[in-house]
Amino acid sequence: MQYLADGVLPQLTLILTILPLAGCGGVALVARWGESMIRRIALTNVVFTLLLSLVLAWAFAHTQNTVSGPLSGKSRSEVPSWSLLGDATGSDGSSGSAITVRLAVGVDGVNLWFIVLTSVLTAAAVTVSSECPVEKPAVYYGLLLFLEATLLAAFTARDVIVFCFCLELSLLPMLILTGWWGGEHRGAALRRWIPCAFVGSMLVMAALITLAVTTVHAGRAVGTSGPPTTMLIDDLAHDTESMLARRDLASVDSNLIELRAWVYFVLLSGLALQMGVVPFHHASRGLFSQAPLAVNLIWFGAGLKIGCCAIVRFLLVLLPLGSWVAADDVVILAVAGSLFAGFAIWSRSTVEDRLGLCTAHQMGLCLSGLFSLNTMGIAGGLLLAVGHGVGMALLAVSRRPRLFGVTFLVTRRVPSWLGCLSLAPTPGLAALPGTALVVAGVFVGHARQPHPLLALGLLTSVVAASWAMLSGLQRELAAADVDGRQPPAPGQRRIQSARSSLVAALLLLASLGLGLAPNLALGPMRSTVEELLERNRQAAGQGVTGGDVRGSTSFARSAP
Amino acid sequence: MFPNSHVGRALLLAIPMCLLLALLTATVAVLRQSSSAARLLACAAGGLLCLLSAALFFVSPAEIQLPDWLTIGDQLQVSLSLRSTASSSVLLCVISLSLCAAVCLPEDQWSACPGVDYGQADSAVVCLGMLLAVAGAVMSVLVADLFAWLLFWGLARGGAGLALWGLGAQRLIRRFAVLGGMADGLICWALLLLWKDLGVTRQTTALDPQLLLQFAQADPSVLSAMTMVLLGLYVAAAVVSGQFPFALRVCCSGRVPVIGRVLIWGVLAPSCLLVILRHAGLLHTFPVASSSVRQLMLVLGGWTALLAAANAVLRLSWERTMSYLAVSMVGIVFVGASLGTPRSVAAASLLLVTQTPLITGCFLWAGPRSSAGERRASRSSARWICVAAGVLLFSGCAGQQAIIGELLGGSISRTFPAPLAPRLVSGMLVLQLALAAAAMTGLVWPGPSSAFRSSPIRGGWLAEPSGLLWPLVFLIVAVLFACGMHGPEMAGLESRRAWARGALAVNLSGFAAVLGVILSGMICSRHGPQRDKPHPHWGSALLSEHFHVERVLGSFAQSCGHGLLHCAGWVDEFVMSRLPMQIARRVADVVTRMRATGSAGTYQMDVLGVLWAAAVLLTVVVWLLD
Repeated sequence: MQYLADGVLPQLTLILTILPLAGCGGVALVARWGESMIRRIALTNVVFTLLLSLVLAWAFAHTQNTVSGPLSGKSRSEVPSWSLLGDATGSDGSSGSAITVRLAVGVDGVNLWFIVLTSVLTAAAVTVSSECPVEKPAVYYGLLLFLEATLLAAFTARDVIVFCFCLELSLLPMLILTGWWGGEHRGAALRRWIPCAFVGSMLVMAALITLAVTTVHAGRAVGTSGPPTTMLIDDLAHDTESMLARRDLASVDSNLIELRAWVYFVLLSGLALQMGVVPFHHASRGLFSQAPLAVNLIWFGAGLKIGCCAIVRFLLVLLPLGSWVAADDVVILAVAGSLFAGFAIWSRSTVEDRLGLCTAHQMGLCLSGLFSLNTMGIAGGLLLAVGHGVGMALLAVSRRPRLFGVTFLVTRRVPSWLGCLSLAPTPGLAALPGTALVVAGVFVGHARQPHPLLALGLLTSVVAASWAMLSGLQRELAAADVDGRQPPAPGQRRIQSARSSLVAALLLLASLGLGLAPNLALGPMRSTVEELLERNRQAAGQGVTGGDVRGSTSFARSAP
Repeated sequence: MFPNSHVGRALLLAIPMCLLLALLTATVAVLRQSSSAARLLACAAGGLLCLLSAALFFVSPAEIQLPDWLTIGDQLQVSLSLRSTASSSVLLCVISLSLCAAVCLPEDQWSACPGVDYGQADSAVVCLGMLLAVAGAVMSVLVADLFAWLLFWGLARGGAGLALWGLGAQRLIRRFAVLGGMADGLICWALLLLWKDLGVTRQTTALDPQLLLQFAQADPSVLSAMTMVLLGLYVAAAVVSGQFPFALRVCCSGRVPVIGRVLIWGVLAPSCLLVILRHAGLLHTFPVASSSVRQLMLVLGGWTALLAAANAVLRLSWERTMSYLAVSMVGIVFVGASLGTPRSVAAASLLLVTQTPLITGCFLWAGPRSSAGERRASRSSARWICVAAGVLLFSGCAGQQAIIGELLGGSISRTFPAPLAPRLVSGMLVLQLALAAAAMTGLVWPGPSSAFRSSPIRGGWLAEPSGLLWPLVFLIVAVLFACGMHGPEMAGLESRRAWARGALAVNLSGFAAVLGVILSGMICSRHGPQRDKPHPHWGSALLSEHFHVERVLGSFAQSCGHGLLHCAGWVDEFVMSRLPMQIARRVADVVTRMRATGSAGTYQMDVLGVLWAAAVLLTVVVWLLD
């Protein structure tokens, strides 16, 4: 098991990240051989990636006691990585560049299920896309694989610069795919989405780079980190903890605390923009209806979850003090946003608009769970994000026009309020355990300060959102059935429906699995979350006791 | 904690497996739009579930540990452990019988409702919804964890809503759905409060009532949290059964189809009420637990019973009257549960188990009474109920006491050869009254030695301050009303007002009988000679975790037998000679004693007295109007 944890698992993660890029190359090589060959190559690649991610999940679940999380302390030589910028060691053995950027990837309990989710949804997207011919298939499938590669790299990155780069890079295939293969009104949707998405990623990049550089410099100033310094999260976390433990921190750099507060605000804003929570939900309005189905599957299913993953892996780790100070405020804002989104869904007439607000509602739930700063809330938020991804993908696949026959039978017969009774904010069972954990986590709160009213607000928003979503779906599908639909040719239909039905069945299986046996997903996640929380509490506690960092009574009350 | 047997665990495991299999196959049937297959599946599942629950009755109590649904370290644990007692087994049997009977009804009668046209029902969806509702109700009765109960309770209500939706009653259930969602949120919130309190102070993660009981024995402050949960459960049952103050007119508006009525009052309300009674049974071990919440429940339950009775008189149609009678039953059960004494809880359990099939039978009969074919279908389904109930009860009572077997068998067998509906109703009512009367009198004289010591023939019991006259007075009232109900009101239905009077008689007889049991329990526990000498009677044994079927049935039958014997002796020796003076004297004596105690029981006595007086007043008014 130790060999599996130390030897196989990191290499497996690296291979998994690179494999879609190899698929891109393969697609480019066979571009002249016709569309069917391109599809086969892409499908083979995504299936291999999916299998590899499942093997990775299995291996991680069996080695979770021996493998460590993102704060494992296994920096530099222990993590397989390559220097991208600068050099860790000079030719004469002395220190090299001041800051080194390394292509280091790793799997932990936080990003494990996002990796699996990305590979599953990409496989579903390629499978569904292969049903109908597309223009420029090589570019199309290549961009899909490239999007998967960037998302996997963003989820697994241990270097903050690499993470920012991958986050920025993931927007490009999304933009191109929607711009070329999108719907009739894609221009308007993209004009609304592009500025917000790029501003969000730029904010994240600016905040993380500023944070990393200031942390490195502050660490050097207080003598806690020696050269060379990497941007690995392990090193940065170590420097942060050492810096917060210094009692004369304020004397080292008087502007450091204020700067970190601004960085916290900017980073949180950028990640909120990326997640599309209220009040940034207008950015993706109309995108769901205009983007191709495959892009919907990947981006809305997995791409939006980068923010959730980054909050746990970066924000809580690198800014422990700020996360403790502002946790209650963020939770209040998130709950208010969820309430707003839950009730605002009723004002939207089309299902696409309702889906956009439902996503904002779900992301608000995730955000409130993550900032409840306890194991239940964080694990619930992550589980809810994964469940939302599966649910959205299932919905996107089921809403295809040629599948209305199946969907009508399944969905129309569900009354609109059935979901609200079962507390399932999106259609499907996958969100139920995550929602329950988030509500419980918000209720418990952190630092032994329960928030029963916030939990009640979350419950209310869940009921309102689920009812609105399901009633809208029911209305649309009933109307579609009444208006009639044009089924494709019989021979064509059987084959096409078989593939899409297979994808829908697998997604339904995943949704049922998440809903009925959530402990399977929570098991690998729990140890990492507990470790992260413990480190976060320790670092925040050092920040309180060390130096004149905080004098406010509010922080003293909420400090661990 | 629970004595387990392999058979009991196997049966407990078989019930959810059966339900899961039935749900999967019914879903496939719905997708293939095969209504006949869905009906067959639902009927088969109901029959199998009935057999399993009947078998479970004889090996109860049993418990099986299943893997947790949700676990976060030592912070949160939602367990799916299943636990069955005798009362839960009987109720499961009743619920499954309701499912069978409802499915056997002709399709065009499923949504039968005078004055309302719901159109063509989607029978496959209705069957799936009924299966979902029954599955949720069954699992909510069996699961031990309160969080898991909430999940399955939501499933049950969702299933019932799906069935109504398949019938075409969307507009009707919309308000019900809103209230249900809000009630679910409220209950979840109350559970979170309880879990937080227990988790912080006692480091427990599961909301298992048995664990709560252990904590409460160590620290009585947990009782307040438990009563809060009880209040949440009350809200859940009140919403689904249309109790005061929640949407009384929604469920009783006369627009609910037959299937909806059966699901609401034959499946959902009994399952939730049993959980409430289980909690009340836990709470009754703490005499100091008479909190304001329980008093509030008492007032709400009593007010619901009275209000529903008044509505039953005013709504001059069969459907509405029966709906309000069902609501009244729920209110009476709440009165018993909120009092929290062993006898009141036991009496409420008895009333619940006996009234549920009665009401279900009435609702099923209400629809198809127009044509011969429908009558045959209804008769066949009702016969299934009667045969299954007779087999179950005869088997349970065999070898214990012949008298109770004969009583039950005679009551049930009367329903077979005669025209269906009046006999069914009257037979079930006689069964209920006989059970209530026998149990009431048996509860007063729980053992042979004490019974004969205080025999009215010897004249000893009257000299003791046992307050036995009160329940006997109520018994007389109940018997009188029951006799009045056997008149042409039930059979002919020529006169609406006469029917209303009969319906009121049904309601008040049950109300008076249970009130008598409750009062006898209160009085005997507070003033009776056996107050300081607790002994295992059937009511407390039914709710005890150290439960044996033979012991309970034996003590139950023994109590009933002795009660009947003493009743006969009392009638022979006392009623004919000295009744009026003794009644007046005893009433004054008991009231004076209850006033003199000045304890919390005085308040409850006041409430009950007011309720009883109001019921009598209503009866007199209706009688005069007629």
